[in-house]
Amino acid sequence: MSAQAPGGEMVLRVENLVLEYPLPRQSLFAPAPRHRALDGVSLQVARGESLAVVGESGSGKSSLARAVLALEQPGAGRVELMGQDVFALSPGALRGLRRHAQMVFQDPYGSLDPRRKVGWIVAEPLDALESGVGAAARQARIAEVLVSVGLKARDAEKFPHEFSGGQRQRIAIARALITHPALIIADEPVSALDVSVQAQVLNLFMDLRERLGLSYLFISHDLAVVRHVADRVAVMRHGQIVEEGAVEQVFREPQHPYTRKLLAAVPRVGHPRQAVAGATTAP
Amino acid sequence: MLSEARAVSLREFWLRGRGQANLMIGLAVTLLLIAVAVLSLVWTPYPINAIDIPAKLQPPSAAHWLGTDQFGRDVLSRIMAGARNSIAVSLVAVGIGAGLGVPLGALAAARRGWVEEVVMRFNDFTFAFPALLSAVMITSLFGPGAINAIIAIGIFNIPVFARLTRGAALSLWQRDFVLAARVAGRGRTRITLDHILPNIASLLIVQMTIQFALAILAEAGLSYLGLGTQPPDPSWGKMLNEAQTLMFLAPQLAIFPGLAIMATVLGLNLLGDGLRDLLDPRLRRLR
Amino acid sequence: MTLLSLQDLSVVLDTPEGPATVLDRVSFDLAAGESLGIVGESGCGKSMTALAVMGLLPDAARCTGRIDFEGRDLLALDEQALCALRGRCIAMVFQEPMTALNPVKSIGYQVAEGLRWHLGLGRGEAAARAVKLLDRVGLPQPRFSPDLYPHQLSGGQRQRVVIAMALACDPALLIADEPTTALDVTSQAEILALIAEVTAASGMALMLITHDLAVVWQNTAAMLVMYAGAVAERGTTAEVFARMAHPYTRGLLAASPGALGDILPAGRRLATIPGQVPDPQDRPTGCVFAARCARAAADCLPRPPAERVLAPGHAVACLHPHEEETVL
Repeated sequence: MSAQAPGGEMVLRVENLVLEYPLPRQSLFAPAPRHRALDGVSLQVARGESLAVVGESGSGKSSLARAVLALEQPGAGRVELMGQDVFALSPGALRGLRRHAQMVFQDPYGSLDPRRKVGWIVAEPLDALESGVGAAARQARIAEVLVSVGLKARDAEKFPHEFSGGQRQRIAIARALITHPALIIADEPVSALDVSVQAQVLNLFMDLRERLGLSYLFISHDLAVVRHVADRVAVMRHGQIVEEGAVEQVFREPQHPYTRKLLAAVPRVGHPRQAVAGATTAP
Repeated sequence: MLSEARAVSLREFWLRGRGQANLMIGLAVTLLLIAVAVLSLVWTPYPINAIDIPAKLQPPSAAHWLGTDQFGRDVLSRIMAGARNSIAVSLVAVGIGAGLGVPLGALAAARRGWVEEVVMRFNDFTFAFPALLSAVMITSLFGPGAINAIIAIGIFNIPVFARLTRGAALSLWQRDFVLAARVAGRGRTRITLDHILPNIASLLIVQMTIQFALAILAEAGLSYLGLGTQPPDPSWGKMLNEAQTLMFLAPQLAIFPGLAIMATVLGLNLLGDGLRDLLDPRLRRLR
Repeated sequence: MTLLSLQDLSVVLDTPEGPATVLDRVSFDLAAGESLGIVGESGCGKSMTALAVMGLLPDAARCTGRIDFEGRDLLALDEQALCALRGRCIAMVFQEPMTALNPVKSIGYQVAEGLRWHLGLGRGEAAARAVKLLDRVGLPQPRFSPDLYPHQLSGGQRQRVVIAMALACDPALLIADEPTTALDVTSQAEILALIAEVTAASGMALMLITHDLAVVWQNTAAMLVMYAGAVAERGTTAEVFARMAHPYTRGLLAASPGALGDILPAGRRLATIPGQVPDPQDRPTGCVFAARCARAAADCLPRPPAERVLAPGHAVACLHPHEEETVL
């Protein structure tokens, strides 16, 4: 179903991307200082591949997601989706390209319009990006994606507040899938979820990838999560990628000191414990 | 599908709202006002402008419940007809304010940049004049009359709605579901119509009731100054104006229109407060 | 010596959908200077337990049972007595450091506030102590002036300020409610280490609330696993991890990506616990976990399982606990 990527197997190619935000002026006469959120970022995602971008808050990883989807205008650099430079396209052509790249957000409560029914929310990209879909075909597509993320077709008639956090994130994933995109950009998609639900949603991401041949740009601060869903990982810090490689390699032999620091900080069962106070507490 | 959602929310509205004294009193007063205004179209105790000099300046009695004015006209009939006038003026004035202010505010929030600057500077400019003063200015430029009063009051309502809409819309534009709509390829206009406006509707409704009360006051004020409704059409403000010179002779002429204005404004404000409590999800949870 | 003791604490909240049992006969003891981790998912009652101990439950909450702190029943105390206790004897570190701090007051002022209020120190003396406390939590002068405001600090630094405020009156019990959930992973490790260090150094008891089993493993001596308002499993951290008798405890660990630190082979899935935590308005009469439990049998449904002791310092509320040891 997915469109072929013209010009090679790269679904996404980012070259030397620079993105700056103006900060509040310090003085009336000085130019406003700028914060460089992305400082020359380059990366590629091949068809069917899952690339994770990890970093702490302020590392620029969310800015990267926005720039890739042309929601922000970068100061320099290129973003190629399906081989086409997104910032060189006309608005109409860019809209045509959006079909191939959709996004899943962090907060399952904030990313669904509380005043719209699930069916409307899920069909929004379809209505906006594909013209000439008949009413019956539209209903069928809504039912199809809802079922594919583990919900029921009749859930389309409900409102978001009738669902739990994990189910809402499934709705958000269904919305991202409805145009049959080649690339899903997921910005911290499980960090707001409870542990057991997190595992369900992560498994869903893995299932969908196998079934639909999706590519992921998976943005997270959680290395443990990244380890499960990514083939390759890029470690970001201060707007730059400090280390990139296959997941196994980066986790086993981290090269950059910052990567090592990140990995060491993850709490793990079985690791040496802190000096803990007290010995026993009787049940 | 839409009606189904509406029916649920109306029922919910009633279930949650009936416990609130503010809301219920405000609603009752407002409905009474509307009922009186509608009734005055088909029936008043006396014809509104029927002059009956022998019966002038009568105190309240069984024949004239609220007495008569200096021309012998029935005060109750004129207050009833004045309600119609007040509602018409405020409805149109708030309509102008919201009709222009909401799109301007939504546009400013959606476009940002120089569009926002222009809209907001226009707002500041309008805000810089005291509302009543600018109304006086407009009516003195174009001549007194109900239509000009409506326009004047409407214009000073524009920045109120523009500012409110922009503020609320700006925070919505930061929300993820709006970002999701942009990822879905929605244009700014469609996002404004589909996501922004439905989510600030409750806020606007509350503001409308408050502006409605202010418009009634402003119309009364302008008419009192002789810049609003022209005789012989009845208006609460006009009635107060005419009662001024007869204050000691026939205080009821000032008291009853004054009470009508007070009750209406109070009722609408209570309704606005009640609606705000009812529609604000954060306050709802605290209850 | 037992510092804090909960006996059959139940909390019922009246909601528009009916009464909700948010805590169901929770009992535990915490001795002075010891540490207790409370693990569970959202809605399992761990934050409610903390609020109950602080006397900060919503007005609509109905409590039964006892909360004894230093021999006094907290549920019987009036608001004034509780105010004297909060901050002075029991301090709390919250999840979101930005909202726990007042954005328009300097950090020095906020740390000194508790000293002046509870200990009656003068302005100068309190300010001097505040500087020492900030230094103690890793915000030394002159780099971190007490005149800084919360927005000038990073998330981890703000949480250090909150910890300094909690330490100010040298309380006997520190409650940390998800203290690192809002922080980056590197800050998380530093803040947890700081909490462990300051509580150990001053003999403070610690109640650490978290959703992360690995955080409990690394930081507390004893632990409670809570599910749907009730205690599922309890014991010393070492015992509980060695056995993981309750199916929910095992499920939670298996579902945690990377808690064990190994890499899943390509294509393998994380273990999941099907379904979700039942709403507190309609909890089943029997075992609350039965609907999601692979080991559930007919005898789980009529009544909630009584707690049984498996070993000294280890008990589980389950009729069919796992018998075999875990591979930790």
